[in-house]
Amino acid sequence: MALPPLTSRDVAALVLLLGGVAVALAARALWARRRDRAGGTLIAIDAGAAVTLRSARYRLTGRPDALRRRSDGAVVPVERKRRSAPAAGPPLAHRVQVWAYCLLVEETYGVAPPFGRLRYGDGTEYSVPWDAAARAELLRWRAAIARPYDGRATPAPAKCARCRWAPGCDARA
Amino acid sequence: MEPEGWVSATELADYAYCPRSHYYALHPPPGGPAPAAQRAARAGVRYHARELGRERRRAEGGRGAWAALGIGLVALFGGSAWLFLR
Repeated sequence: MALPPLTSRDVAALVLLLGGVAVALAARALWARRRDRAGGTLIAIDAGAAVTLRSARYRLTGRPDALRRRSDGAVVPVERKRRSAPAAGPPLAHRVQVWAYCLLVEETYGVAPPFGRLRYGDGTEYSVPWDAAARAELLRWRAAIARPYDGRATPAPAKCARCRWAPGCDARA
Repeated sequence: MEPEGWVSATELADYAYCPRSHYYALHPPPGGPAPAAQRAARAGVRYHARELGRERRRAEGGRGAWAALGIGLVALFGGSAWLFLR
């Protein structure tokens, strides 16, 4: 079966469509670049130029997804999560991870970052403040993990539904 | 694997999520992790590789996006003129 020949109107419509797609994709890429630059200059990323940070004082290591240097000189860790942003804001586990990166940045570069960044798969971003309260809570978790495990669990339906160990866990909600 | 007594930021996050989850990561229960969770973990690795690769390319500042914008605008205006002004 032969296809009908293209008219000049068809070609014009096709050019219009392709132009629209190109503009939309380019605008998206430029917006993402602008957003990246607003967060500072990329100095390390876990894709080719990864950096593992270590603190002998706290016996802590970590490899943030990215490190960005802001115009005021502060180095800010960025952590990405594939899931979409939780309605209630970043959960404790995500904040603890970002705080750990903030402590490692402080130990490595000698300057405390004002916050760490959490970027979720849906594009939502949060600044996680790195202040005295955050430091105290992080160090509480650091001390707790060093103690022998005593059978503690913190089950909750939402957490257990996402937990990789749920099928064999006797504490699941 | 970290030296004895050292922990990673990821381990701390796992522990804050649930101490039992962290314990199971070190001492897996019979049956191991849920298959769906293993698939999600692999998808997470792919997601990070893809997104961080894009972020690195954006930081390298190629002119591809500007070129695509220019070509797209030319096509958009040219196509409109052709279609509506003839």
